[in-house]
Amino acid sequence: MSSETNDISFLYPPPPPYIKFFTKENLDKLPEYKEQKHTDANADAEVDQNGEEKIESPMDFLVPPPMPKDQYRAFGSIWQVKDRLPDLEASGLTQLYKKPDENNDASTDYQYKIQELRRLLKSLLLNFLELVGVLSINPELFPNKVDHIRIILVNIHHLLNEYRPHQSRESLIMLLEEQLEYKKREIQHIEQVCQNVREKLGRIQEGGDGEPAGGVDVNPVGDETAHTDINTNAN
Amino acid sequence: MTDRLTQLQICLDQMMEQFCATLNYIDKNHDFEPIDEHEPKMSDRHATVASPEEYSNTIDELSTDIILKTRQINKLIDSLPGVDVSTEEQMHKIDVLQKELVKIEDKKIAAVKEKESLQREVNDVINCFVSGIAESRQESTTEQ
Repeated sequence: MSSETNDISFLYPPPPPYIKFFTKENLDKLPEYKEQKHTDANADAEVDQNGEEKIESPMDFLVPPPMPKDQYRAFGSIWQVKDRLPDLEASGLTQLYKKPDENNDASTDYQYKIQELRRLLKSLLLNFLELVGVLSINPELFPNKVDHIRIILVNIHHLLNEYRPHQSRESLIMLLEEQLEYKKREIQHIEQVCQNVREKLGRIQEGGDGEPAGGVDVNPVGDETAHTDINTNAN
Repeated sequence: MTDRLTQLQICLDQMMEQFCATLNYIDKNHDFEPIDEHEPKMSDRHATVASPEEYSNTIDELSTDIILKTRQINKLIDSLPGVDVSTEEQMHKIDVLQKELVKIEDKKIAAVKEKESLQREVNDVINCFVSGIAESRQESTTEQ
């Protein structure tokens, strides 16, 4: 539809075509169909293990498809179900730093990454220097050096991205600490106000006891039993 | 403010831009040098040849910029958060903080409750005053 005119290309896409199978009649038949399908599935369970959806009749459209296992499509690109950083090797680039050993301790792992980062930075500078040198002596040999710089850069960025989960955890810790601090301050403030009010009440009580005169009977102030009396009166 | 990693990545990009700018400057502003003495010095109408002094000054400046940027990047690497903490330690800390947060929330609720009861108390006192004043006024009017 988008190819017809530009004007409507940004409208919502039409509903998927199988929507017309969701009729009242089909929905009524669905439980029965599911049961039948279930018994069928038991017969040839091996075929179903593929996770592939088999569409044999319109009724199959009414059954939700199985959960995607490792990747799914959305907005025109493929996404991993489990969020993970693709390996450098997998994307066809040389990985310049060693992969972290499985048996290695995680703490040394991050320190190692920092070290590698520094080394890569130095290599980057050196390679730039070499590039300038190459350009001044034999400019035609430049693509090689530029490629080296590119690989080093990709490696650095990859290392940094590997570091991201670590940093997010660290930020979370900071956030939690901040929140704790904030709440502590809040509580302290409330308690302080309460203390103030209590002190003032106490002073009133003292004053009330000291001079009950003035024609006004303020004696019950602060007296618990009198309080409740007046309270019930007021109510 | 963006986080350190993003800053680092931005710095790297800036460094690349500096690389390009440096090469670009050399390309556009360099002088020509004859291969041997008999050859006339070449010239290019499109090139803006900088004076030797200006040229070397600018090259100096550009390289200093690159070095400064490198230092900045090094500093950022130094200040990456939690370098010496392992994932397990982090998770443990998060767990502890979370529990503490729940505890302190309870404490806060208790404090708020106390505040409310105190408020009621104050309210009662005020009511008491008011009714006391009203009564005494009534008395004084009936006495009259």
